[in-house]
Amino acid sequence: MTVPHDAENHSRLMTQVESPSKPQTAAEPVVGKPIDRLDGRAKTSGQARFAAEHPYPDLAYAALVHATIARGRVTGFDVAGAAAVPGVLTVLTHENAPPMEPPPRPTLANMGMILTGAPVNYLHTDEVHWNGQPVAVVVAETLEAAREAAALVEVAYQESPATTDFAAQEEHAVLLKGNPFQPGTAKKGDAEAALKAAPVSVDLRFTTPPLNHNAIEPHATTAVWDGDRLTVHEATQGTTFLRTHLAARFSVPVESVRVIAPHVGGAFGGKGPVWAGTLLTVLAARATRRPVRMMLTREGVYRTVGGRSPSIQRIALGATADGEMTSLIHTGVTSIGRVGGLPEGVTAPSGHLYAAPNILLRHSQVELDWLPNTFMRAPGEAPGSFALEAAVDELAYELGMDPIALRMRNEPETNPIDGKAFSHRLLRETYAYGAQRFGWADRTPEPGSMRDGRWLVGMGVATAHHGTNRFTANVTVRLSADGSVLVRCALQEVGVGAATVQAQIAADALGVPLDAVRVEHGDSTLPAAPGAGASAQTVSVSASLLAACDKLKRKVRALGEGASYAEILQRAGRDHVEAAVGSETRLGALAGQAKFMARFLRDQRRWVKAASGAQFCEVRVDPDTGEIRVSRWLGVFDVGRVINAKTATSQLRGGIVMGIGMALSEETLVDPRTGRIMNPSLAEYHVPVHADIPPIDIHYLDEPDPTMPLGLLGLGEIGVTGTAAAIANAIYHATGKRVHDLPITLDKVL
Amino acid sequence: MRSFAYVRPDDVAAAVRTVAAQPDAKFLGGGTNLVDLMREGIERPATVVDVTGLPLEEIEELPDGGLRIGAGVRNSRLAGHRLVRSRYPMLAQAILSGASAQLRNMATVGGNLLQRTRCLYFYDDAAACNKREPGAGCAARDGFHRSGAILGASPTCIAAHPSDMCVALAALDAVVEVESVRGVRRIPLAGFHRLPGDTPHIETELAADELITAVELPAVPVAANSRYRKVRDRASYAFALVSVAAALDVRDGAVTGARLALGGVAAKPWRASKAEQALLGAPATEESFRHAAEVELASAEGLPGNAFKIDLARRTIVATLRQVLTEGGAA
Amino acid sequence: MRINACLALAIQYEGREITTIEGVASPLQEAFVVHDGFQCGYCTSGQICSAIGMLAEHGNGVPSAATEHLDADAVELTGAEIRERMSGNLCRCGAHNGIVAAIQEVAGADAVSHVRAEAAR
Repeated sequence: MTVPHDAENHSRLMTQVESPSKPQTAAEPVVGKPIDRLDGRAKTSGQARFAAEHPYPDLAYAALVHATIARGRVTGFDVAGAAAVPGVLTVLTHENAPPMEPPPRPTLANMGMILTGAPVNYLHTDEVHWNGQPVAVVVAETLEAAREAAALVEVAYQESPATTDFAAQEEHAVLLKGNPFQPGTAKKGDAEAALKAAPVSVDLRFTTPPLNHNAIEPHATTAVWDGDRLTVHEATQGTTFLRTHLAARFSVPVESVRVIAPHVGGAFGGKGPVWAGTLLTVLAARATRRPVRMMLTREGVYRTVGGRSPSIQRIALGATADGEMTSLIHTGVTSIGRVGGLPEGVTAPSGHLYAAPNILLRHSQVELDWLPNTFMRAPGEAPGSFALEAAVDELAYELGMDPIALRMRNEPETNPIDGKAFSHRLLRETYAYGAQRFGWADRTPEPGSMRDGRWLVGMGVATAHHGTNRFTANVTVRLSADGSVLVRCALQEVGVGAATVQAQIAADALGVPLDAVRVEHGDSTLPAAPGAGASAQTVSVSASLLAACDKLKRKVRALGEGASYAEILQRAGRDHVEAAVGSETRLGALAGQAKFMARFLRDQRRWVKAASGAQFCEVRVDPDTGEIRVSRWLGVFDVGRVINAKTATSQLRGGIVMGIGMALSEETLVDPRTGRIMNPSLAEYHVPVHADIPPIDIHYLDEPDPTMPLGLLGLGEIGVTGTAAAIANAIYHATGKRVHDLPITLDKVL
Repeated sequence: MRSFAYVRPDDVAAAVRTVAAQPDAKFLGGGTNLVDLMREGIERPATVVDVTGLPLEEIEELPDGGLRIGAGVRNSRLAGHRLVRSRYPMLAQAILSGASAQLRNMATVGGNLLQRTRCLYFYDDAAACNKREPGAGCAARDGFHRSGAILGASPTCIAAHPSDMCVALAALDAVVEVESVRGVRRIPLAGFHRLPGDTPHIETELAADELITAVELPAVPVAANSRYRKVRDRASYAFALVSVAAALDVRDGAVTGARLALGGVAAKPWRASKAEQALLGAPATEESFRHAAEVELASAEGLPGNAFKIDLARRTIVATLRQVLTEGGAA
Repeated sequence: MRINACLALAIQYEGREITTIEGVASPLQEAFVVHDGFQCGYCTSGQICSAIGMLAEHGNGVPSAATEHLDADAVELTGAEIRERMSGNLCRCGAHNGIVAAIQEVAGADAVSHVRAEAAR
């Protein structure tokens, strides 16, 4: 890696973006502007092709057979009925499937393996680890035949006792060991003693349910083998790691695998890891020597793609009578699959938000015979911020203080849990601006005191917070003599405008008009990139892109002089000049990764970096029926610099919309008796519809972070944080009812 | 989906003959429920008889001021019909609060009557369900049953009927006209759907070979002053937790006419006759409304996951009657 | 007329003219781009086709669950009306505001107020 990473370099890069070093053209700078997304016309005309929309001659279709027990063994199959369905090519089970390797453990050289959804070697084991695990795959000439035959496969099981009731397991939760990125326990002072001594305190229990991403595009794969060469069209958040993963599972060289995914129909974390559908499509294609497509049914997504863990959280806050927080305790119990999953770090926000001298954070887990849970937009911080920020509101009422005033009273100068410096923190500014813009002063604090006709009106606030992440990314930039620019990077466009913002950055860095820039992305043959996740893609790729542009300009300037870089090329008789950042060789990548990690850790010791913001909402509650409507929203964010005012606003809004769903209606219903998800459909899992979503006003401060390339802090996930708390707080203000259990359905406020 | 034969007859006689000859045949209307259930493997007909080509698409005004609605009329057309909007606003509102505009454009009146429950365990063929498989048991009773019935349920089944339209039809004394090879008969809507008892798999009085051809609405003057209120888990595009169709006629402060029916609370659209009786002659006050609701709900029984619906139904009845009283009907 | 393709048994529509996004040429398409009425683009084909049908329904005087007086001759296409009428099209990226703004622009209605919402209904 040759990405400059210290603050001095960053400010130099930022200067370049603001005024490209000479020579330059008169192109208007586009960074920061509300630019239409570059794939907009393709997506509004039906031209954008998604993973299951690639025709191949001789294409076959696959469908999954899901286990109906939570734990045990498959003792036999009866596939006679399935095989008799006209058009069925094969029924694959662990008795006849071609080889597939189990997932190797992740190493520094093989980071792709960190994104293994569940470490189960599907169809190579008779073991069942969760209710819904795929145990067979049917391949047929048509989609209809495949699905009908899958329904006719009869599976016999020997059941084992299973642990499937999250709430009942709370007392058996085990304290998380943790790692440097996600400590299980963190403490400062003696929070329990301080809580006891505090003149004013709250000690509260919150619960949040399991949730599912529900990207509108179900997971889909089209897999084509040509000898030992594999091409996969995939709904994925990252082609680079998926290529590595598939190569390992199917014992072929990485170079033989190509993953193509220029458009992905929403992801939200659910398309980060590699799940059964992808692997089994590739396996089915190998078994049948046919191109195979499998688009999961919505039910199939629920049964094979992990969602967000449920949580049980305790927040205890102690304060002096004048509102100085003396103790903050945040403990959380979440679930993890017995065979794997992601610790949902719910206590994360509580280390960063309040200047309490005594803090205790503790995260425990219960192992369940459930499908492994995974990343879902703002893992940990979304459910964690609900509990923390709802509790802070309760403390404010206990104190008789304005909830914003209480927050400002306890706004820390340094990171509360460890005293590290903030690279940048403008939370005060977001509240000050938001309060004024939202009309917070018009709010009468007494619960139930505001009405509009029959509706009870409530206003609530909460803090949004999301840590900044950054990974390595490889990029090449080519400038041609005709002035056109080609950026090549395996970055992933899951709907966030990722390619558009890189085009903007390249245009400004090279002083060319935006329409001169083309970005090739979403293909594993391109320079390796981290994929869309952790709010880090744009942060990571733009750092490398800036470095590559810098390199390119030096190369061009070495060729001579001219009014523009393109002119220099023309005079020098060169067709194009290219610059690359990052190494594509295995050794080079390893070295780059090691160097990056060293820098990352050094940087992490020095700074705490995060985006933050203030969420303001107004709700109306029907006093007869308890129906809750969010009627107004303002989010004011400090996300560092914003590259594209339009797409950034949309992404922040999108997070808030997801938070509204989380607050009011979303819940994955896992039957505690069977571990089976009972509402695996968009009819019964209630994502917000148009009628649920009010106009959402977004404002951002646009203050670059001084320590980050271009000053970016990442903004993909912060919108969902704090949202549910703001709503819960507004509901209290409207009704006088505190609801500690999400979702806040109407029966809970009756 | 199981392979099936598809026929599209031109006249009712041919349609009913086809189904009478094939016990494994099903009539298909707009397909918004049957196609979904076929895809889920819950319904597996061998023959599908498409009735959308039949001449059942008229909405006619009857001499007495009522309406005769062809069973093939699409939900959206019925809701938009001038006479429905002015004479039976509760019906228009009920239809408009159901499903989505796209689905209402597809769904037929006959099909709406026959839509099946949304109970989660009915939809999952890995779960025990007496409705799907008589004698298998009911996994919903000790499971998730937020949508379940609070009135008229039985130990075998707590599923609720999901229709909105039928709730208004029940309040309006609609009559269902059905035809088979044996001829034509008329079934009052209030008696069309069955409570589960010991046979939750038998959902209506309709024989397997009978085709719904029309729904007739009598003249109901009080219905001009009516509303439909639907309470659900999001603002739109969700099934009812509780819904109320209410019409009210008040003279000199006393109730002289009332129609009331509930949705989301039973295996059938629930005509609240006891509440209507309690309202007649009573002063048009909040107390009377509450009393009427309590009379109707006296026999309601809740389970842990749906007991809140008893209180919610009471509150929604009172709120809807109050709204009709103070703001008038939706017309 | 807009319908759900996923529930339409194809053979029932034999002989009917069917328009999908590939056959659409509407100012809504540009308006969706300008107002950023999508992110991933997966629901967009449906949102645009549905919006075309919705505007036609509104033009024909069809009321909705958000309509106050059902026997009125014309229904004002407020934000609340659009949101109710578009509720059958799910969007998970959260592009609802942009979709409504795009439709309002094409329908000639007032621009969305991002500061003061109309009362919730």
